Amino acid sequence: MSEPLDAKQIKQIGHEARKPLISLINTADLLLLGLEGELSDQVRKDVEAMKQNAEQGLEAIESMISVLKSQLT
Amino acid sequence: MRTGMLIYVIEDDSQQRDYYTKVLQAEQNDVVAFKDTISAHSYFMVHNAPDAVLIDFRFEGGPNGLSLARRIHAIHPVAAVVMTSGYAEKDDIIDAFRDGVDDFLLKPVNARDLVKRLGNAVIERRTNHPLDVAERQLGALKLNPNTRQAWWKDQSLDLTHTQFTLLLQITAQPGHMFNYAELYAICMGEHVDPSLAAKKLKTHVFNLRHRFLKIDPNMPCPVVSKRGEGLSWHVEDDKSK
Repeated sequence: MSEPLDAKQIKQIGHEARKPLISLINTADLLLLGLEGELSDQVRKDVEAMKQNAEQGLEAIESMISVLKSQLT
Repeated sequence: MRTGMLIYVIEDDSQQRDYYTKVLQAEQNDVVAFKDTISAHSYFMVHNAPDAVLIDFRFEGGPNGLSLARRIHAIHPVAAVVMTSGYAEKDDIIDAFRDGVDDFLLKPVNARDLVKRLGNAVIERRTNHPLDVAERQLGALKLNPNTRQAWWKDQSLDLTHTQFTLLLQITAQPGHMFNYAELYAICMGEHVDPSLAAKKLKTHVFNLRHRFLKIDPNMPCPVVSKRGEGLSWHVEDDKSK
């Protein structure tokens, strides 16, 4: 059976899991602000959905990290 | 917010760095971006004060963001420093504010928040540090942190960047003895042990003191160095002119 995770490992996992989602949200923001060019209505809707999903993913990760942290004590 | 600011962005994640740069440039700001704290520190030493600095809390290798933030304020006291992090603990944020960071943003940073909070940090910094916007005066000493010029008894001291940084730092708290390790980290951007720091700063301190004595050899030098300890600005000499 594998060893339980320590605080440092949980922090590292949290960081690695958040990073691509933060990157996705930032890219969506740039697109929605029109900084990468004009968007059609359909593409705008798709990007908004993508951003919303990434934000939900981020929330799920935060919850999981909180649970893992609470199991440490 | 006020647009047209000079903003330095220090972020090791290239995607994140590009994001900040594009958002801030879209608001008509000038942005200079750095991928690590060492190159940013070297740049700060020889360029004019930015309006604001956006800096990541943690870096892979090299000094962390908080350490650089302290040095930025030592070199450019008027620059607002806003820190960002994707995974800061509560204690990290408290430490950052205690160390004089103007704001702390948790990633992902919304574009609107980024622009607004950077602008607010600049306004707050200028309101709270009005003396640093213009000249700092302590008795016969005048310092201009923006142009990095100093005068003693109305004569230019003609200091090097390291000498000016030392002087700016010790005059921020007259009478306080700054240890050599701390001063070396501020001036050179790296941490070394206190004895090595004292050795490496020896010539800079000697030359700094010499500049004062050259202007008035009869007046005791207000830059006080204490062997093995550090450097301070002598309080009583402030009144002499």
